[in-house]
Amino acid sequence: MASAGSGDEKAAAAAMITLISSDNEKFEVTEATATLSQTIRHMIEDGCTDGGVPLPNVTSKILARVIEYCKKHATAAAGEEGSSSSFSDAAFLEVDRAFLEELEEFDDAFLEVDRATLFDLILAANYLDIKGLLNLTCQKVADSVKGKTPEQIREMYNIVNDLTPEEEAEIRRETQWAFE
Amino acid sequence: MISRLPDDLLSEVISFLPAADGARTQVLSCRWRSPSLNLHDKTFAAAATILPSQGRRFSLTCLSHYYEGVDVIDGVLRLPGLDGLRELELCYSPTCRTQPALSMTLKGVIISEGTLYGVLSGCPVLRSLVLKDNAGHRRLRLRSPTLRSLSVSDNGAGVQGGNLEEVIIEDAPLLERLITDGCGSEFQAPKLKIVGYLGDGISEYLLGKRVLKALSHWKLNNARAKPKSVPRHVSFECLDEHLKMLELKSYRGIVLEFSLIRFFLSNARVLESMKVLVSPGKWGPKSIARHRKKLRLSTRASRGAKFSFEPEPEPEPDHCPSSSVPIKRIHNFALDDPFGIPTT
Repeated sequence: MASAGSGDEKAAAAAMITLISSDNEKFEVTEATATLSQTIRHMIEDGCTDGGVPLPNVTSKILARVIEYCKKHATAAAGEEGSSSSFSDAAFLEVDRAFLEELEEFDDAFLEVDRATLFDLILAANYLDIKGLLNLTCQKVADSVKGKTPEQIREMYNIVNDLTPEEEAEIRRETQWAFE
Repeated sequence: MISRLPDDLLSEVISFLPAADGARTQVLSCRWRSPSLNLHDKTFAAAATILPSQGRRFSLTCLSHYYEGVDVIDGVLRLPGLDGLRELELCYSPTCRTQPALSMTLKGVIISEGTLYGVLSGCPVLRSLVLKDNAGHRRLRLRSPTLRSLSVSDNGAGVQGGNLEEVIIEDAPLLERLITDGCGSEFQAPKLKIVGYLGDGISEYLLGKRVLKALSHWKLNNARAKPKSVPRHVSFECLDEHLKMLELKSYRGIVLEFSLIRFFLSNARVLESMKVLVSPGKWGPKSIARHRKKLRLSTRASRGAKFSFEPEPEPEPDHCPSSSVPIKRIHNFALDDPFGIPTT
């Protein structure tokens, strides 16, 4: 229920959204930042963000990181919209490239986390439906697996091989080309 | 701890792996047994072997232009193993997904003008571009702050969406080499040095409108000149100060070619060499000697210029048919003259 006399307050706060982590911590973010999450975007569109958006699957530690990512990339999205130059405009390309490089650097630094945090970020990105973050984090895990033998991957991620020797031999036969 | 990820996210991770790495993960454990695969063009054939096993999400990505791939994809799509598939992604993407490309060749592609610009915009640092036998667009309008070499040719076959008719280089401050088969109309490229096998249309802009009068009867389909070292698109400056080498292809000895050669001999003041290429089967030493005499070679603006008749080389297999330049050599900036006959 909206309280009387809060009209001005509401207008000022209209662009701000409160996100509430599983451990009950509150985060104030702009709508532009929040709507990088499709899940939250839909909630805003449905008008059910009054009083904050509870995110029971995301801890405050992970939510803080996710917001950090969204803030940076929301600025990026705003920058893109603001530019009307054609692709071949020299000045535009220069700015664009510098900015993309900066964004890439941010992403690289952002991914400097332990594996547990990385998986938490994947789960959060999936739950909040933030495509860019999901791609980024999944790519990071994929990169850690790339070029490794099955034995190395099992050891790295504590994967227990529950295939029977016959099953394993069969799969290896089917995917012979991948082991050459 | 990777086991904390639900199946769909595990598939997501695997879909980021190259085909072989993705396929190898199947052997990790039961859970990894039926993941998605991310196959690149070189493993299209492999797709046929894997698909019958129970893939749920299948992604084929073709990163380059790949003729044979089309048949393989067709075969893959008919496999019974696809019945249980939940998601299929076919991705043909000649754009630069990892490192921005320095050189790119698009060959035999039917591509709309808009899509072509989209592909080019994915290559912001492109230095060398070859567009060969493509269709689907009638015009190429180019602006590139980085491009140094451009080759555009067209096999002339009527394909859907139209063939290239017009090349407009709006701004290419670094462009040094332009190799075309004559489809061109406008160029803003102050650094242009090498221009290859021009047809009718291109000449007036490169040599300037004043020259156009002198060349107004240049309509020889098989006589195409190759002015080199042409840094300006205006006036006689090109002939006064820059044009060092000229090559005339498929010389037949007709009057129009005579006047063309005479024009350059009389006006190109810094010319170093002029080569006239003739078909070795049709031209013997006697007829060459007769034509040399007729051309009045002693009267020329540049006293030091060498003049020679030379046998026309057989084109190599990978040549652009009109320009006689192999694609690989267009991309190679170490070569001073991409037209030159290889010395190997």
